Amino acid sequence: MSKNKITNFDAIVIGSGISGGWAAKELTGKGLKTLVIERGRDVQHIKDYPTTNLSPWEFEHRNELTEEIKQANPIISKCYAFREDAMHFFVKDAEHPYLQEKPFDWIRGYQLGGKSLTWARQTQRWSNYDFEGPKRDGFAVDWPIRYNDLDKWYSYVEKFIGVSGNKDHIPQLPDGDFLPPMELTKVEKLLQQKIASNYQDRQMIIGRCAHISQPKDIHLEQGRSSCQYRNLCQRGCPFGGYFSSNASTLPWAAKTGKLTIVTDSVAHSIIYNEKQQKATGVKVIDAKTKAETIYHAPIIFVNAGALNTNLLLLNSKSKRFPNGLGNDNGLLGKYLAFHNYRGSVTAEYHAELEYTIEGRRPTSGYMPRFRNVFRQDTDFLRGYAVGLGASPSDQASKNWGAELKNDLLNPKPGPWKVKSHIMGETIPKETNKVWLDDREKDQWGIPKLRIDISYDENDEKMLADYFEQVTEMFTKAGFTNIKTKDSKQAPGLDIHEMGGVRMGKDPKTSLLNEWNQLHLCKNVFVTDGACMTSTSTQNPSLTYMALTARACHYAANQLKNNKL
Amino acid sequence: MERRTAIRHMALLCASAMLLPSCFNHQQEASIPLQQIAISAKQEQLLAELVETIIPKTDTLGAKDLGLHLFVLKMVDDCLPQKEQQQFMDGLQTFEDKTIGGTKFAESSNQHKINLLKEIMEPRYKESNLQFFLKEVRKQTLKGYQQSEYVMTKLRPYILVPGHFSGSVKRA
Repeated sequence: MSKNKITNFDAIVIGSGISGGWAAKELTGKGLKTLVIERGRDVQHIKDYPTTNLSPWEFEHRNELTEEIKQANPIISKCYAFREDAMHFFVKDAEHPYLQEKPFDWIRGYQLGGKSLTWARQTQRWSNYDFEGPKRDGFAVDWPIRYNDLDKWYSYVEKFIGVSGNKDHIPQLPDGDFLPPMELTKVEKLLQQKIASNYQDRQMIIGRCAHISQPKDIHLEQGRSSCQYRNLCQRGCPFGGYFSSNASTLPWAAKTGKLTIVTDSVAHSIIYNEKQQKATGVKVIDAKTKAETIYHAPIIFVNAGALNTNLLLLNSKSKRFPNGLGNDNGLLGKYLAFHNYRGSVTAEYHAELEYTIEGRRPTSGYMPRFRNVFRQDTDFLRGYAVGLGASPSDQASKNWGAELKNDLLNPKPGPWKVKSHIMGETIPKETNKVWLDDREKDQWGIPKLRIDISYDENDEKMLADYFEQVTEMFTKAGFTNIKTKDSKQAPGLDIHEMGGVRMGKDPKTSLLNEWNQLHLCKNVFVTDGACMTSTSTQNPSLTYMALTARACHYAANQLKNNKL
Repeated sequence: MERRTAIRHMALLCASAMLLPSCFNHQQEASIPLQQIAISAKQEQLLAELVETIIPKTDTLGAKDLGLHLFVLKMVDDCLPQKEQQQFMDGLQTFEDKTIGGTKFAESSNQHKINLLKEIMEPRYKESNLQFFLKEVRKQTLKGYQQSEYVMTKLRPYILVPGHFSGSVKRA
């Protein structure tokens, strides 16, 4: 370790992904000298997007995975975005092994910006029907916050990141501060009308997404411009058209002059000082040299990504906390949940063939949860949101020779291809858990994570209902060739794993309070997916960002008033 | 083995290798390096004829001009699981021997060639490696063609940066 290395900061943020980037922006914005610790390599906006401007023919295998890569990476190869154009933004199986009690696909992105580079950019708000869910339906514990606590923080985040969306006035999916919405396709509009005329409880909308459909000054100031409808987002966007830490929060934080980033630095544990009764720093291992460094700060934000946050806290053992930091109740690493993405329904529509689309839209149609919203009306708990899309197709040719060639170059319109997928809420349970293996360690001497997470009967019932309802909706819309498919994919592949360090009112039954502080170690904040008490159905990143901004303002104020 | 004997054997092997005509190698192997499958120059030539039959040269370039037979081989070599590579090779061998009206594919007229391909796609060949082979060649030929620089720049331009999105546009 260099003697000149600065190791004292006002705040430390562990992780630079979607929530860590926000913590960096907010804390530096409050004038705090902030260190961001990232376990992966540096990725600079634009400069480090090597594939972003490649055309299809420039990929050796036209974006397919080789058998060699699939064989070496049975887990990450299942991820839809792990292909030739973006595989450098995902963790290969051998790079950070873990142990599966039951099949769990742990999808990770170890680099500056984390998974914010490759996320699906869907940004739907939660409502009180979500925050009140556990209490009303008697599972997990009550959230210590309600929609009112987060409303203004959602706006705060949306304005900065840029969210394209329509004000739809749906009680269970509150409107936000939107840039102009993207357009539904011809047949999506038809489906929207058919659903509106057939169902009073359902509404199809255009998905709200973190894309700049029309830049405002705040976006231009970040050096970002309009989405160009390339839909190549997973490669990193040279226009800054969608939100990522790399394009937005991290450079913004750097402009304050208060930000330090260390990459290739694996957080090993948080150090607890018994006399001061608080955490004093973070032990970090250099990913390459394995050298140890201890960084100190009065505020520590843990944004390592849900499961890695669990791992880090479990590994932060001290005399006071032998079972992991803040873990007197033994619930750390338990009550994990995720989203059920197993189901999809496809169909065709053989009319409106004279219409097509122009450009490649980076979002799709969306139907917020309609089951069990205002009251319990099925035999399963909670419900699901539905992704919906319809796009034009070219007629597949069965010809050969010159006729085939002509068909390929002058394709006749084929049917509209309609697609849907489920986004189901799963119920956090004590039996869905992670813990540290007592023998196997990773390359950095940190115990491997053992993961034991599975579906339950509620998920199966919900899936059956989804198939039934979407089939009915598609039938009523006049679609044909309706096919349902259960991918049986393992939990994890949804990349929406949440919980393990849940928020709650009571230190006996939760780990974090209403400000995302560890009940038992108040200067440690957890604002990534690990903090989630329940999962609802919405893509969770927007909520992580809002929780992070809120907690950072609280933390900075507490520090200023000498309360941390 | 004695060191001296080993050296002598080695020298003999080298000498016999040198005696082989220099073109021998070219006749035996494909013109691109392949790791998993062994393709002879003759088979490569047959594949070139096959892809050209699938997408022939007209007033625009055909599959052979675009080297799509090599693209097919590359995809089969790199992206197919071993079992399917076996099926492909087995199907290729069957295809080599396949005749129509007593004539082999390579020697047939274009119409006969197409008739043979249609025949192989018939349900009676459904489970056969022959049909698997042809389907794979067709699939990769189409992919290679539609995603070739030539087609994507000259015939059906690919727009890297559309700049806008419209959900309902009348087809031209």
